[in-house]
Amino acid sequence: MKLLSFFQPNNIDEAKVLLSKYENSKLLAGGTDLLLDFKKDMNVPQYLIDLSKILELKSIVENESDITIGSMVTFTQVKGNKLIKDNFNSIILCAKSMGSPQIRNVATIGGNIINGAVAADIVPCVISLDGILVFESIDTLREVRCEDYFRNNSIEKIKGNEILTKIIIPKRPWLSGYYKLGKRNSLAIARANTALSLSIEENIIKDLRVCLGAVGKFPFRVNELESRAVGKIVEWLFDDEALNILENTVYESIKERKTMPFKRNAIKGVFKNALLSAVESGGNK
Amino acid sequence: MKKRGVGFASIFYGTGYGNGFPDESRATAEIKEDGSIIIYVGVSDVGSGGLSIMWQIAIETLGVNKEFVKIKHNNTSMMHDSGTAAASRQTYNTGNAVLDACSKLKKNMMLASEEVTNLKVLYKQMVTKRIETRVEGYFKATTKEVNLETGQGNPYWPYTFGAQMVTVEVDDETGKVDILDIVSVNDAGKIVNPVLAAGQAIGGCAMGIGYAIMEEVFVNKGEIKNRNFSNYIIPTSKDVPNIKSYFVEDIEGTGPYGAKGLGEPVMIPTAPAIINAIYDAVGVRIYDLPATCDKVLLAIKNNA
Repeated sequence: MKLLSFFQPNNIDEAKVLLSKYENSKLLAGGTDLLLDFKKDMNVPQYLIDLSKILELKSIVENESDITIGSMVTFTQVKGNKLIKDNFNSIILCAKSMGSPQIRNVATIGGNIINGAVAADIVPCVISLDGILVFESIDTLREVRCEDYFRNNSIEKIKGNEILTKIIIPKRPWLSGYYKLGKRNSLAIARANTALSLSIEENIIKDLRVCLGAVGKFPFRVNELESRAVGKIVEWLFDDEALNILENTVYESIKERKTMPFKRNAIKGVFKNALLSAVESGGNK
Repeated sequence: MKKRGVGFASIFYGTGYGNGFPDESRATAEIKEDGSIIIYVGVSDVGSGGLSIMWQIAIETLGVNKEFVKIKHNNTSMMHDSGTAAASRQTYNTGNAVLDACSKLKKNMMLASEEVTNLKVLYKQMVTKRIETRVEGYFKATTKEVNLETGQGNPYWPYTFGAQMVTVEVDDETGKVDILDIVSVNDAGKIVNPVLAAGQAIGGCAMGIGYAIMEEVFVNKGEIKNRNFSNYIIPTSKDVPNIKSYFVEDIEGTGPYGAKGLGEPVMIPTAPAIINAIYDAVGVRIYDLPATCDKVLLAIKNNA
């Protein structure tokens, strides 16, 4: 297909109108994946709507009970943001390890989520922090938990006339951590990654969220580990009993894949590194 | 848990085409009416610094101010063949041809006048005295075909030597290998250009890291699947540690000013030293490069 026209709306409303008006259109939200496709003549729409001029989508705002990240916020912006730093250690670690400085300068949080690559860096973080995605179209507005968005993707998947406008993440005095295993230390796609958040009182686990990435079709939570951990001491998470749950989960998820023997083992190390990053962050939630 | 290990490897590498294959280089040196001296030489600088090396050898041999000497290269209508920029052979082989040409021109210049003060004047003196102002240089490397029956023969001359020490950190729960430190020591005879040589030595280590733990070709039914730098993984600045480079300048009698080739040998010890360091750290031997986290972790599990 050939690109007929390119738009740069100045606000969300303009973008919604354009999106409903032109059926065969795509949203440009950074372009670090989409433009590579164009070069190969893949996924070229008739109309391209660039969201980069919409200031409303580019801010990080603190509310009473949550922090809202605009979908067009770049990884560079996240990496240097004090609100994120003070609240979500996992997101900071993720943003730091994502791509290279050039990619972080243009790649956006929303683009990373919607493009939904198996190894998307930010998705495990948002899921483990109970993040909510907000989709808007010219006549609808819906909120979907990031976890549900991927778990029920066939139903929840973004519609042709919708825009992901923001990500709402609840503020909680929890610890959070992230670790990515890649083929090299920069510009690497995750072989496996883990994001987690946990609430601890006097060394007892009160609550836990663990999300694994790149070990299945989509990032997913490990409910069995989460529920079994509650009431136990933090050190339990480093024990074989806990780690074996992860190993079995990954085994079940990618049984048929050639990488299974490696990933079922590696996930334990990846999880431990993520956990250490959370514990070491200490007061820096 | 992250475990550290140290590994060593040493190598020797025969430079030049070897095994009896004719290995020749040619160069022409000419003094011009305007007092400049042109060296015509078929050296291709593919990032190896060959041009600088030839220029330095010419200046040293001619004993004139560097501003007067120019290298003309790559235009095959103006110069003879100097062979390929390959086999780490340009400094030694083509350097010797430039040395030969410049020695002959220097001799002719001295015939015209004992004391060289002005090259324009000297040129006129040479013409008047009918002394050649343009001379040819030539070098052919010593190489003999190895007897396949007896294994005897001298396939290469000379050999470059190198050794490296690598410190790694291996995460024994993910298989990830980080290179923490490399010391690279090379004997390429007299080092003609120390800055270029250090750059080559350090770059070789970076390339060796890729070879050892990253670079992998995926083939499916004869087709290479990862034909792009997005999926053919080479080291970034975050994967290459601080590298210390040292040279042992053991003068090579047959080399130009004692120099030997350095291009390729610098990367050879890196991979075996890394593999040895992995063994030192976690006790597993990787026999199949690259030592990706997959291979290292599974080897650790099988070893337990």
